[in-house]
Amino acid sequence: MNRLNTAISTAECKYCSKLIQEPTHFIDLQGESFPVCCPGCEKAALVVHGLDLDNFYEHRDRCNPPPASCQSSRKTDSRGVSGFISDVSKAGPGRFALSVIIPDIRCAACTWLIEKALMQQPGMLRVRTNLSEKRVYLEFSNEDSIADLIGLIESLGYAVRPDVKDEMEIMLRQERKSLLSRLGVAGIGMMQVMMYALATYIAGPHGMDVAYETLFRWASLALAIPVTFYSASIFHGGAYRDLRRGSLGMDVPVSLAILAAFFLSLLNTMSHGEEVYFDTVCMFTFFLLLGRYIELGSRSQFQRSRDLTAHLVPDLARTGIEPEVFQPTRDLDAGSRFYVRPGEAIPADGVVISGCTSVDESAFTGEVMPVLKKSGSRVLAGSTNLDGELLVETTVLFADFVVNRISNLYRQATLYKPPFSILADKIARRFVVAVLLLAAGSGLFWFLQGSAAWMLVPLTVLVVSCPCALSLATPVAYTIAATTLRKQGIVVSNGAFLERLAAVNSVAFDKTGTLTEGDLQIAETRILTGKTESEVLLIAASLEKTSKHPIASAFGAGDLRVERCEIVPGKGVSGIIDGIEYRIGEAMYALGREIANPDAMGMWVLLASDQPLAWFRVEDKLREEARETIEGLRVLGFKASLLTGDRSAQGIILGKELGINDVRTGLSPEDKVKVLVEKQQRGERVLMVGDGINDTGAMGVADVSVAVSPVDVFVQSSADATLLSNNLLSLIVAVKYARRVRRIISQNVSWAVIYNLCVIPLAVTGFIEPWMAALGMSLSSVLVILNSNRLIRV
Amino acid sequence: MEIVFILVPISLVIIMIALWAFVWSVRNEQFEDLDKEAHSILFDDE
Repeated sequence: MNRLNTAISTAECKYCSKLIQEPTHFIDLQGESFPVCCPGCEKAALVVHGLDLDNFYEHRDRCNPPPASCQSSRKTDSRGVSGFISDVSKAGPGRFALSVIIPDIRCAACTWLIEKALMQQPGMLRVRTNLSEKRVYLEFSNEDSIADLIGLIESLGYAVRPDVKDEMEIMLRQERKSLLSRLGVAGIGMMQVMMYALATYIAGPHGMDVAYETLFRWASLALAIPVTFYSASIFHGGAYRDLRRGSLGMDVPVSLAILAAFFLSLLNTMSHGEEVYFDTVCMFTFFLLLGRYIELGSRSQFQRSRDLTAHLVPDLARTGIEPEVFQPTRDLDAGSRFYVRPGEAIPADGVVISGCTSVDESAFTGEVMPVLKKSGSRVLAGSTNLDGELLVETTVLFADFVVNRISNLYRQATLYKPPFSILADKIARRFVVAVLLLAAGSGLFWFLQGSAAWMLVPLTVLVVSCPCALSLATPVAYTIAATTLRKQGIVVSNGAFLERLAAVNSVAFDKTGTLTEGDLQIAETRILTGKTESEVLLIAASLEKTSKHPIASAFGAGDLRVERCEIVPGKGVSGIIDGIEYRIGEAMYALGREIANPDAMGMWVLLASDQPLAWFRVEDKLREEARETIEGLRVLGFKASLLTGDRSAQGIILGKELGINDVRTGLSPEDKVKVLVEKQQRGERVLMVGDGINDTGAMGVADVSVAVSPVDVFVQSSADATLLSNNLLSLIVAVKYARRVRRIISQNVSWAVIYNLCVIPLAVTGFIEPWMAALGMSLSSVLVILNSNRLIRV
Repeated sequence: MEIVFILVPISLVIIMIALWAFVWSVRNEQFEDLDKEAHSILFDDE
């Protein structure tokens, strides 16, 4: 619970468990003093105590929730309480209902606290919280109490957001419910029918009086009816739709097998025939439904993680203080400014103009540690401002916010059907035809032989060869993979990303902004003519203002008026200031002729008009994890190369330091493309890693491309995937994961194929009983799905 | 063994009740949030 560490004088906040250095705030609860990190947590702890809910802390420890960022003084979505009033619906006479989203719910203890606290409020009729959906449903008798109720939840430190349900989600929910109830009926039915069947198995053929046998048969029949006609009805429906469209889907043989087994058993029950197969019917149905249910589970988890991001962005932005003015986030123009108070979610993507704070970007990066933001830093819509006040200028329109692009890209990526899956579908369709013919053929053969098994064998063939496993093999794995990668801060924008990444054996890095931090500083200025240092810096800064190249950021923003500004990617920037044309960039571009760098070391940028004016040496820090990443990729069998537009010796030095032998410097964007094509002709499959500014061309050519900076890439959206975590080590994770996905899919497919090849001959020749067939086929599908579920862990 | 003639119908009745109970609980959203209920049993009140 409360671990007071006296040695270094840090303590855990009583309420949010954040570590505090030198605690200054304390609260007294029943004579005991506890440290708290901020007034917000103090208030929340007092509310909890006041409601007599101190058990919360104990419960929380039992759940072991993930560490929270401080929830201090979180305020509701700026549209305020009025927004919730329109969401209230009538649940009956004098009963009002409201459903809200509380994104901060982390564990069952949170739901316990919220439920208990709300239930103590007068007029509260019902509270239901849903941990996995982070949704709270309220029913209350007094319509005017909403403000108090929401205020109470807020005072406990939780932000409350309106609940927006989309159709897709409602559909999934319905589907889940109906599938679960079918599954349960089939399961209960199966268990009991097995019980009855067991008696006959033990007794053996003719070991039981006909009267008893008949009794068991009729009892099994009674239970098989709901299973066949309720639980299995989705297969019958699917088969009917397939047949009407004139195609043969997977449901056709399944439905045929279930119905045939049922009616054959029914006939035998009434005519006291040889054998009944009610146990087969129930088991077959149960396992098929189980497979569908697990598949649906992975789909809805995917849907849910998408939805939660949509809830992150507030509807309104505070565009003025004193008096407060709000503007809908959707209508913000690029360049408009807004204020963000501590504890609020940031409403738009932009650049910090003033203020200093730490921001929780865990929704994007998966990284729990807050990120420091100061003037000039980029902030993302949907991240949470923790402790300082900010003035932010928006850079892009609503549709281009990273959070919105992510959810779009995410949707696109999952619509993608891997060629493997398309092939599997095609094979499955042919396979169904073959199976139907085979079943009919074998029935006919045994009939002509005069065997009594002529009805049984086709049934077994149908059951045993259901190609479910084959069809499920790839899609399930892909759905799970996209969700898992997203949680790791890797957003896949091209569905083919995973399969291509798995095949890659060579990697090309851009230098600036990719292997280096991209946070450049001017280390040295050398004046070549009469101008002063501040003059040349101002001119350079004004020219670079429009450029998005990382070098430009080193100069800051100058405020001279620049006319006819032109950016040449990979070369530099030109523009007219006070009637004089200036160029800044590599020497060849700036001056129009070759001129030696003042020093072979370092990266030099030249400012020139008609004559050279000044050299700037720009310094960039290597990313901390760069060496480890390259080493890790080499272990995975990658050839690494470094492609940079920089002409200086910097690239070669860097290459040595990192152990990259293949370093090419002074490449224009076109040159990079050429180098990649060359590599591909040599049979290498190349992964291009860049920051998406001048690597667009190369990214297009490469077999697969990854962008490391989340912001600019979305403007270009040329990369197949983006590392939101801004950490190169994710590359290794992604490569390993992609290889695992490939391995698991090929395991699935080979299993399905081998299984069918082995079992069908046995079924045709009559060696297998129908119940064995049902068990084998069902277990085979479940095995495939469980195997894919292993992908949930990275 | 004639008792089986009574026991089997009784078992059928019990199963029918079980089926009804299950379908009822699904319809009433008893299975909506399996994460929460797994923990809430640990929260003893009073």
